Amino acid sequence: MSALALSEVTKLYPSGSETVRAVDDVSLEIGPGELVALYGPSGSGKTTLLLLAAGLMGADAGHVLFDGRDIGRMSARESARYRLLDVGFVFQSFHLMPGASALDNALIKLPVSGYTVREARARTIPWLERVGLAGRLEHRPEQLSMGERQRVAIARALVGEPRLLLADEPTGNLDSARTREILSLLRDVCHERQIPGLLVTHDLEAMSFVDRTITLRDGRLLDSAGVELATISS
Amino acid sequence: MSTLLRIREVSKTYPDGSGEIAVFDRASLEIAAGAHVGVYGRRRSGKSTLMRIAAGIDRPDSGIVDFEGQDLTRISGVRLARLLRSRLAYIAVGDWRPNPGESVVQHLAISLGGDGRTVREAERRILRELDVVGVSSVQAHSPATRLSTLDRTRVMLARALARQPGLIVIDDPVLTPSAVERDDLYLTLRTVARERGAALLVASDDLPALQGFDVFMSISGRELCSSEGSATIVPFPKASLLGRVRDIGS
Repeated sequence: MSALALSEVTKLYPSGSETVRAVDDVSLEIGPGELVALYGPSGSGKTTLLLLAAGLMGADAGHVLFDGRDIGRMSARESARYRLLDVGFVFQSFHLMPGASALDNALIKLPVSGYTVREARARTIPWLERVGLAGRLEHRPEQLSMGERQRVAIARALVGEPRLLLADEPTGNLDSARTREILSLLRDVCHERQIPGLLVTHDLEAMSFVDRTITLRDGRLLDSAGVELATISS
Repeated sequence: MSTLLRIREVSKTYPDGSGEIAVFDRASLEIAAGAHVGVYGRRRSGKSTLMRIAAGIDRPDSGIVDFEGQDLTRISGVRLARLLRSRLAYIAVGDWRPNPGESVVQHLAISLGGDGRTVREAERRILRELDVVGVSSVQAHSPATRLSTLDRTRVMLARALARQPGLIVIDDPVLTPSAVERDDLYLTLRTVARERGAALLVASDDLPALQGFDVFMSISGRELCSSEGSATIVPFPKASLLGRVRDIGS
């Protein structure tokens, strides 16, 4: 059980002589087991919001709280432990290590968290199987399709059994069947483990897999996606 | 209402290294006269390809693109160019390439002057249309190279209106402006299209911006999905998603 809360968070970026409010006074709570989809056009502040929640970036105003702890007030050591142990982050551009196998890429966090390499492998293989990469364990990123690389990044975010799931366009390179598989996996992880999840996406299909939908425009939060799904059928 | 544009079973692939990437695999859609169709998709999802195919600028590998009885996949370059200066308008801000030193109105008048009007007549006409789309006369007489992306879309819309199009195809009209400005532009777009009886086909990555469109489609995972509306939509073979745009914040 864990929860994420953003309270009146603002993040500014310099842009020429002006200042852009990338995230503008955003307040948001995501409860235990709740998966939220975050929509918004390019440049609306979605990725910034994720980086703030992950402790990869500091807010200019407001507070980011995880289980009541203020991420902005953590020491460097505490912040590093938060990112290592608590946060599972799926990067939009994957950030896989070239030349290392899918398995080594996916397990990378575990030895640092105290697991032996043997334990790390044993824990990681089932996750790679769950994302449909059972036959790709020893393939290097450059031998994998974009969709397969994306799934390695998803497995890497999940193997450490995070207490907060943050994903930036995790289905951006997947076809619709695989998108549905990954979305239901992310939903199941959040529900089963009762952890909060925040999913940046452009994929309308995600709406039927998440508990709630929000939209950022100009750094400000709307409490819906601006569209309503009438029906979903296959 | 009669069907204006009919895209049937269109496939398109692009070369990608040694292989190729399918953008569309037998995608179909129809647009009725006067309908407003919004297409939502993330960056690189195929929106621009669909817009260019709809305007005849990009040819699909297979399939039919029928605009008012003409198959745009087989039309000659000369006839397509003529169509793009009359019944079919295609607007992409990246295509705004005025000559240095031209004012906005000069640049627009020169391209309209080719349609049989004198430049002076064309200038008068374009000034009226610029006023309709919310471009001031000060902006109209300022250097064409200095327009913001937002104003480029407006002036290209004004030029399109001067040619009395049946269909206006717009590819991502705005590159990340403020949401307020984007909403304002889309409102102008829908209002003038309705007044002139023109159909709209607009691609955007901003969901709330597409509120108020008659038909809403989305592109995801190489699939084109649709809602039903005043335009008849022929679903993509694997279509599964039906979305309806509604007002937000209400």
